[in-house]
Amino acid sequence: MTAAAQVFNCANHAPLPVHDRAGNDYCYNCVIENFQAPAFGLARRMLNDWAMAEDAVQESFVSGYRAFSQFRGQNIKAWIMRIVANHCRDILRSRRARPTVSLDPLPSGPDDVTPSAAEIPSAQESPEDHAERQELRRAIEAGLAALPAEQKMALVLVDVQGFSYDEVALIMDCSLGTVKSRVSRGRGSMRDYLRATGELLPSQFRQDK
Amino acid sequence: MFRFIGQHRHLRIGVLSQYQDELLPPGRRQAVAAALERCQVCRQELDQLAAMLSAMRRLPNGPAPRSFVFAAPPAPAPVARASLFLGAPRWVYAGAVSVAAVLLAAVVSADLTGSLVPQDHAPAMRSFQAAPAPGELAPQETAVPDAGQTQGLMKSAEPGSNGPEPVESPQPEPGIAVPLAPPAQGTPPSSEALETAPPGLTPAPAQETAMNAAAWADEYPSVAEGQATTPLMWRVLEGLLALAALAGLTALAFKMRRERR
Repeated sequence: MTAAAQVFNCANHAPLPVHDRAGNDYCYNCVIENFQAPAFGLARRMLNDWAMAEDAVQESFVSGYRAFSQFRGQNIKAWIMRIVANHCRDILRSRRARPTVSLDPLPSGPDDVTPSAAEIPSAQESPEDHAERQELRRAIEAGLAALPAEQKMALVLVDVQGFSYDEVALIMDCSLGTVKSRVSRGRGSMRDYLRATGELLPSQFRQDK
Repeated sequence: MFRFIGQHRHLRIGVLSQYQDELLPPGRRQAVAAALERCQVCRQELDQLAAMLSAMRRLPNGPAPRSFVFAAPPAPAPVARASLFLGAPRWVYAGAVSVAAVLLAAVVSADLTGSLVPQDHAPAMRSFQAAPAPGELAPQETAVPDAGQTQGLMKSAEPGSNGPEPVESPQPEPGIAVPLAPPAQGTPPSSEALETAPPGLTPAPAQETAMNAAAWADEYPSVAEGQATTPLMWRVLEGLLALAALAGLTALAFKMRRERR
């Protein structure tokens, strides 16, 4: 393996060598291990469905494996996320064309999900503050789910996952100006949504009358 | 950059958003900072935006529910069966439609101008189109040439005379009507008129019409009957080209619809 692949380590899985267009070697399982969390986070928020998000991520990684020889070796994280984003778009498009109604109660997620750090109350936080923070989190998730797909994708990538604007332009396959515009409009819609449901939120989100 | 609320100018969410992300150029950033110092509403908006972004960055972005690593390399992608219908790229259909439309336009325009009429029918069609209706002829065109002129012409047509050789298919000249002009409807040709009319000369109007109709109908019966002026082959070709253009357009529409899904 060359230097490109040495940033990964194959301690937890069998190595799966792949080559990019320039001839650099990678272990594809290491790529998956590194990026499966943000990939799943994007797919879950885009599709609002846990099982579909899992399928989408799995299929995206398979597509990435098959197309890895086309990767030009620039930004592998953005490349993988772009495949996931495109796959989510395809699913949303086919869902719009053939709408289905889930019989499962919403939200569809596993029951045994380990609470994340954001959900565990800290020692310095009062129960009221913790409840308020949880309420805000739920309101933001609901506001994200209500956004148009492209604005949602831009907002999730920039504000939730911390990608730079340039990376998001690569992932979404659009110009930097378009990303800025989508992020601005998404934030505006989000702020309006939080103001509209602001009674239970922290004081700064309540509309001054 | 600003929006007007009442008499105050407030910063838009887009500007605040870029200010928060430090994406504004230095000069503009200073202007926004000055505006924020002056306006409490704008500061409040910026605080709200900052709180919202902070809350969004703290959203759980936990690990994936399961590991997606491959135990074995995935199977190669199945080779897609080439579809006979709609398998070609979009430009193929667009090009086919364009070619069919251009050819159709060419054939139809040639048909309308009479270029597709066979050579033996062409002079008949030309004279048919060129000759004015009997009722529309100008007085000098339908007038019988004076006696001297007629005699001179007849003499010139006689064999052995010193005049010019008789012309078998004289060109139309002023004062001499085209002998192959179509007959007026309802005026059956008269054999007597034909016999008395000298070749290449214009007889009296009624006589001329009858003679022309008979000669024209004898020589070009299909044209005279108004049938098959353009051969069937060209008609079939026009129909096929129209069908091809229509089929290409339909295929293009189906392909675009399928790709949109």
